[in-house]
Amino acid sequence: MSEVAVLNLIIVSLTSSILGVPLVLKRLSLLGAGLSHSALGGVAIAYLMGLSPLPTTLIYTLLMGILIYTLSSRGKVSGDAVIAVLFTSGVALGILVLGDHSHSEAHLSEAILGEPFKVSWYDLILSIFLLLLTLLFILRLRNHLTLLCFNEDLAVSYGIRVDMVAYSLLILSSLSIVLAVKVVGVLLASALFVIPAMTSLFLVSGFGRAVLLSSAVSLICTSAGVIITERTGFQPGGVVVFALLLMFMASFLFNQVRSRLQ
Amino acid sequence: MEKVLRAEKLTHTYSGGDPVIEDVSLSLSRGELYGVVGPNGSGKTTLLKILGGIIKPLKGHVEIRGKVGYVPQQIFVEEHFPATVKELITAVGGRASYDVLAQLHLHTIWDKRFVDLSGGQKKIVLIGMALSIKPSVLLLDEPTAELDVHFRKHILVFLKELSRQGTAVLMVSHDINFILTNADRVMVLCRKVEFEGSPTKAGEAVKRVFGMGVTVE
Ligand SMILES: Nc1ncnc2c1ncn2[C@@H]1O[C@H](COP(=O)(O)OP(=O)(O)OP(=O)(O)O)[C@@H](O)[C@H]1O
Ligand SMILES: [Mg+2]
Repeated sequence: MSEVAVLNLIIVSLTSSILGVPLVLKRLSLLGAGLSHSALGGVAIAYLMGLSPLPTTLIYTLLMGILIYTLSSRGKVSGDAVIAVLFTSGVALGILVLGDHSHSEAHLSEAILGEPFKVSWYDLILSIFLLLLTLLFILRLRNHLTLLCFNEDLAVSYGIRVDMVAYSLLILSSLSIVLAVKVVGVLLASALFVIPAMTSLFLVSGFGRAVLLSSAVSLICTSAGVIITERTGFQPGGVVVFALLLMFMASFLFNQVRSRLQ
Repeated sequence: MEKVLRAEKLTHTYSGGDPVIEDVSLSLSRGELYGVVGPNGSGKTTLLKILGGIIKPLKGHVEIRGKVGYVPQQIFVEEHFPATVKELITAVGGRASYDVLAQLHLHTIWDKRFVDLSGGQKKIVLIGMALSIKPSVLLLDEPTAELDVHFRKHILVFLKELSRQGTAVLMVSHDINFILTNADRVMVLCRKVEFEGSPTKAGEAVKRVFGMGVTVE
């Protein structure tokens, strides 16, 4: 992998692992999976209209994220149902447009499996920018975010502008899921969010510590993944997610044993 | 007496159904201990959520001087929610809320995760969170449910002290005796206000609404 690609992979998974903690706690774990699949729809639209894929997909996914959240948080439809609908419609659009032409099949498999080696400076700068925004968000709004995830009614009663906090989380998550899709593909992108977050939630108490540990887990697994990729030539996405899964299982077992002993 | 909360003609329906509360008006003075009783589904929690600014009433309006602290009836939190008692309380009130911890004897569970606490301990933390914004009005939904005799007494002493210092306290409870013996003024709510006034005169309305008498100890 090129240096740019390695750096990009590490930064993208770091950002995802940070956002993963509030997403899991806000019961939005499925949002990642839903959005990554609907990103496929964005790629399809870009191809169909001859637009530049990354910006088109970013905007499309952002709109989908806002749609999912607005429909489900206004209580009109249950969240998992909305996600399931958008999930499949994104895939349908992708298959319809990209799966049919002989030229575009390449796009479809690239979108599904990611294109970890084709990373430009432009992608890297975007990833860094998003990481900085995410850090700013977490550091500035940490208390509000904790209370929002804890209980929305209570957060409202404390005068927290919950919509502002929730939509910020949503916008950051939608954008970073697209960057994750670009690197590890539609199928694996949400793993970068959910697995490190769950791993850390088994192990520590404290919201701040959970975010820190989630980032650490992600850094370790991604770095290990990069090294293994270099040695073996496997796809980095698969290797990183596999490493994350091992960590997850270890922390789950540790948690089980610890609660038995207590 | 200076009014810290004034609510006028509150009416609310959920998603276009029948009103769950209708024309409810009330006002609280500084330092008043106010109790609300009523059967299940009579609109008590709805009233509290409106007063706490969590839901907007369909009709009517609420005026509050200062801040309002809200303690929910119950709360569901994700099983692995990592936040500790300390984190939650300081997230609400910053460092200034450290004295709330001492008052409520929370320092023994300071570093525990909220999800690992017992039902009663959770309730006390929720009260602590509400207090740490230094409210002029404290709204409590079922403050004594799940509390043991010891803590019930402790909370009561604490609430009385709080009201002595000028905080208006509004509590909703199924424990009619607790309300009738401790509140300065009570409301019997059953969608509409069935009674409002001194607890000693509430007997008849309570009988009517609950279909049975209550003997006050
Ligand atoms: N979110 C909601 N959506 C629709 N209806 C609701 C909602 N919350 C409450 N209700 C209805 O409004 C009515 C009043 O409910 P509320 O929770 O205010 O009663 P309550 O007096 O607090 O009852 P309890 O003593 O059981 O706590 C009930 O009939 C209930 O079914
Ligand atoms: Mg209630």
